[in-house]
Amino acid sequence: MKNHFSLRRFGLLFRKHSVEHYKSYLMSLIVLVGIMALVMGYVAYSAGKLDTTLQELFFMLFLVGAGTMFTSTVFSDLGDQKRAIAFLTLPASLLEKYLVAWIYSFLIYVLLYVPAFYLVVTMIINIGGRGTEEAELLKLFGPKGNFDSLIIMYAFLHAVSLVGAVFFRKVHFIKTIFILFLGFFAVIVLNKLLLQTMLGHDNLSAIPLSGATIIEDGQGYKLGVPEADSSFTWIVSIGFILIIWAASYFKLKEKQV
Amino acid sequence: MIQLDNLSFGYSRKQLLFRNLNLTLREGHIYGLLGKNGAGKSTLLKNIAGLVFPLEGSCQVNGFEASKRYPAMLEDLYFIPEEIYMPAITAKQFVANTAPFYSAFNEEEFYRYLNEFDVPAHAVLSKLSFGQQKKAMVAFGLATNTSLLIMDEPTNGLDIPSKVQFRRIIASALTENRCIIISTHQVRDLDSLIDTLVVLHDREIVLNESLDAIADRLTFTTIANTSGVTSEILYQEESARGQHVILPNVDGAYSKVDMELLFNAIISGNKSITEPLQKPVYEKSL
Repeated sequence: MKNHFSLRRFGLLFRKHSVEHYKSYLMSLIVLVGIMALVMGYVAYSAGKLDTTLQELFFMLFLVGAGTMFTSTVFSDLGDQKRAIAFLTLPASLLEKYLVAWIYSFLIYVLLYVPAFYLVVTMIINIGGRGTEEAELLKLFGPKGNFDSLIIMYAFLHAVSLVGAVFFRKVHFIKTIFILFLGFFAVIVLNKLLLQTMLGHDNLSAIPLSGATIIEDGQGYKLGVPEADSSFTWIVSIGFILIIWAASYFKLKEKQV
Repeated sequence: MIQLDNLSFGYSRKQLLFRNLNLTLREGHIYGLLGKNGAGKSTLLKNIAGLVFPLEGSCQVNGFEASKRYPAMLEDLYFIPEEIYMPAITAKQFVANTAPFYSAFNEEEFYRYLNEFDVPAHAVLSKLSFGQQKKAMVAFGLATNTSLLIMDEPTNGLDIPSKVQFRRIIASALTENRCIIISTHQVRDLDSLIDTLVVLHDREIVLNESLDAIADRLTFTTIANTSGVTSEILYQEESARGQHVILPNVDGAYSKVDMELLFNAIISGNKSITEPLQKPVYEKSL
């Protein structure tokens, strides 16, 4: 068991990673805050407001954009022979090495991103117009909150980026996004063909795990899991994400220099 | 220590770099791994360090399958590649972050080696010259006190005084519990350092013998001309001082092994060199 996971070794590895990377991570966070401030500030200035719909859109875009870009780099050492040798021969298990990368690119990233986003939004709203209707802050949690859906979407893209980070040697992000788009397109087409065969309808939209919309006599009908049974969709989504995370771990185990 | 059994490896199955290699390396020795450029010295070392996986056969280090990269194996192995990566931190920070992974690391030894190599301890490692970086890495590798220390072309980038320091420090660091493997194509760099010679040629280990055993079977000498030599000349090379020759050691007299001459003889494809080395000693004496 000690050859797979040791809390002491994991702690050492986490500390080593933090010490060697904290400067670049801090700089990246500052750059992200700057870009968010610029983009959202400009939109708020142009549109005269930064309502919760816009905030949610930006929250998602920056979460996914910066997160996948960062995740694509967490195993960048493997793309360089010199660094890869130092990484792979360091006496820690691959599970420990994987977990450090996972914790930084998923847990710590989200934990830093959320306050950074709110800091920027709060600043913009305060500068723009305190006390107006547009000054409302996005609520991620609670009945109106959408955090669970957003985090599931990020988890999926994070998992895919992690596979790309291990699989590709160079330009991980661009290659991963390219493959992701191709894969997404292929899955939609295949899903549509499958549903057409099953339901006997030609005109339908069929995004995986979102139900199907059939158009019949000019009328649209949505087929899907009842709202009350939405847990099924969640379980399938989470299961799928776990499989992709596991795939990236096993790909890391196979890595050769 | 290291056991290779019928190991076959290639970056593709169609083009094997090694076929059915068998090799045993033990503690208490400094092995010199020789081979031409492209013979696969670095790849063999990578197999041992678990950085590449054999297509067939096995490579075991201290009883662990190298390709599993178990921490128990890695914490008793230190690999110094030809091209090294140095983070942008000082030697002190490097020790603080990396040394705890090696249970037998000795900080005092590390600074002593750094001092002997004339490497500044407070400089940022990535800003040192290539030769200085290499020496810092060798100092760290030695101070880990791992039972297996693998160095791939460690003398590349070292100046002549540093090569002398290197040989002296490595020789002093050998213990009976330690196995040191040094690969190089600069045979003279290993002079007076290694005790066992491993030669990789044509996808095979063609020689794995101690220098003493080689000296028992072969005589290395320089003669003005070969006309008066009564015994069979196994290999000869012309030089300004006469003919460097390898002869069978028929009278048991000791001669210093000329590794460069022996290596040239082996890679020339001269089987008469390796055949006497593979015969057990008692056969020769009959």
